[in-house]
Amino acid sequence: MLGHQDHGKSTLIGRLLYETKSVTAERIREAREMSEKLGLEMEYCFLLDAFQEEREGGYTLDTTRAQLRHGNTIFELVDVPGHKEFIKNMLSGASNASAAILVASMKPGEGLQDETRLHVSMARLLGIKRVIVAVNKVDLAGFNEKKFNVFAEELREFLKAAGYDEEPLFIPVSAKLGDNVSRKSGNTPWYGGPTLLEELAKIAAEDKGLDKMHLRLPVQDVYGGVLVGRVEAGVLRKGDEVLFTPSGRKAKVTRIIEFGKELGEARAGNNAGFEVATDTTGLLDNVCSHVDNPPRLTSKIKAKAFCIAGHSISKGEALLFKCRNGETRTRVTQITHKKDCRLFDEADSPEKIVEYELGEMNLENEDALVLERFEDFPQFGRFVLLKGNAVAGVGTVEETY
Amino acid sequence: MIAQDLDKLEEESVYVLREAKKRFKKLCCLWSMGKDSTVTVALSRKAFFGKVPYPLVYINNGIDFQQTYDYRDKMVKDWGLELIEERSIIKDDDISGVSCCGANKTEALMRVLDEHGFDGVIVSIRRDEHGIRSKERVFSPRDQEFRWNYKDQPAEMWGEYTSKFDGSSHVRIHPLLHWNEIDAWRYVQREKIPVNPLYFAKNGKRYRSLGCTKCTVAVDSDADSVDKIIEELKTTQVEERSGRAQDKEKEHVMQRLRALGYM
Repeated sequence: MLGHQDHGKSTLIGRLLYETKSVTAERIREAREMSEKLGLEMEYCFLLDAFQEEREGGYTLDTTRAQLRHGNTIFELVDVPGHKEFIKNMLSGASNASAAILVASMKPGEGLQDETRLHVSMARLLGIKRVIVAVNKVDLAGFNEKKFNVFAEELREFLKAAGYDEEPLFIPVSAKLGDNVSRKSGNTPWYGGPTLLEELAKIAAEDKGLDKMHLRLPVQDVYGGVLVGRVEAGVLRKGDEVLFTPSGRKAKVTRIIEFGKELGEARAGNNAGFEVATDTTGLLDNVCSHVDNPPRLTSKIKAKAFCIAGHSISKGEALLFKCRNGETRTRVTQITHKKDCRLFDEADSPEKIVEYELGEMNLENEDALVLERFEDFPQFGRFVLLKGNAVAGVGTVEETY
Repeated sequence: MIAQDLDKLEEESVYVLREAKKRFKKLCCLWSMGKDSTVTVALSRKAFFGKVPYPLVYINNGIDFQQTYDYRDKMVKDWGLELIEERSIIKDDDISGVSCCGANKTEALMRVLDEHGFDGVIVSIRRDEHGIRSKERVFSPRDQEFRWNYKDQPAEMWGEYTSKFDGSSHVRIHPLLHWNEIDAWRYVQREKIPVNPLYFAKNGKRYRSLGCTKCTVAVDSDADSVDKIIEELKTTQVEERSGRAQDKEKEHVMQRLRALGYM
């Protein structure tokens, strides 16, 4: 759930919780009492878990998660802080999302703001492919079709500039009153599309197809000859000939086990335990694949990296590079381009990037690691850049050399 | 209450536990004998093929229920668990959340961590339990005084858990963070995990959340089996910790408790 503070993200989640009956009566009563105590009308955002200072201050300090059920589907909605200084929390909260709901207010004077740009740029960087735009507070714009279309056009341009090329869906909603959230609104007869909940259900039904990809299984640990690790993609079967990268060792899978039983296969998402017909020393942190579809082992990459507040990333600088396959020292050999994610200002060949800036850069890692293009294999195409123990940047692999 | 896919929950928890085992030098797991921490112990058996590879820490205030003590002894024997017990001392009659659960239990925990040099502590909190817990990270550092700095939490990107933090005394690992109360019970049912008998109704009352004898109140219920508890939770309109004094006595006591180091 993205968007600027006050544009109604928390209220929209609260409204969804309320309409899908995903919260208890006790919680609703508490929210009502809390609203009255603060001299407000029913605030649906109080149905979300919150810190005391968040409720009293009317803003979101840290990521909040809310679960709602609709039919057989469970959605986890993540409310991210609207303030720009809380971008770190937003990145944490949104980094596993499969779709983003951008909440943008039609209330006169609120419109598009820097934080919205920042949020959308981050969603793009995180690899969230789908965006639904909830054009909120349509009631305060008189449910006016023309105003809605004008605003949608502005948002369309803006999403394109942030890297979202596909036509997004724009839904006129009022989180406060409930229009087009779970029920079609009589106030917007000119809108023929789905409600927000219908669109969410449609996206949830799409198959990610991880099972159909090539096998990628990073060896997380070794317990007395048993290798363990989560199958990130593909399927591991008993009898498969597998390859471990970077060690280059090949072996046959002799057993796939779980506590108390043997299995025939382990699929994407499973935490596999397995044995191979070879010595397991030195296989920790290797990536297991099938022999005929090895992963890419590389130390030189072209990447995009976003700089976290309070840090900078400079040309020539040495940092710690951490990805799914492990960590290594890295050097920024070149920064070819940068873009400010709030203002969309751009510059070529800068010396460094600072907070809110996204840089295109070349990195040279000390050790070769399994790295893939983010577009092909997201799990192996993303990384963080550390200075000491602090995350200074987050990035994605564009090209490997 | 929303029931989630148990297979997915189990996978995520097993991943977190294995990641913790890999990343910390010395791990322990808090075990209160309640259903949640017992589910974590059961998940640990799954993750490590039958043998829980870290000791369980139980903070005993001496006023837990007799059934809890009996249950502890049976489980330790049946599952071959290594148990570290630390006595927390109740200094006065004040059983308010902050001084009793907070100061006494937190102090006892500090002694255990100090004595054994644990750098990672597995704690079975769930996001749905309490508003404040919903903001937690899976790997969550505590400072030298065991405080939780919820205003400046580390970034936790793409499920890549970081175990090193500047100035932290230890890191809390939360393998059940994404579970709901009903999921814990459905898992107990599916995996046939023995639970503390206090959860089952007797004479129209049962404990839904277990603390010690002083701050835990039984709720009205006829659910005298795991199946009935699950049925009850499907339709309940009451929050889980409504029987826990510490949560209700003062608004946001839990926020203060957690910031001060409570589990």
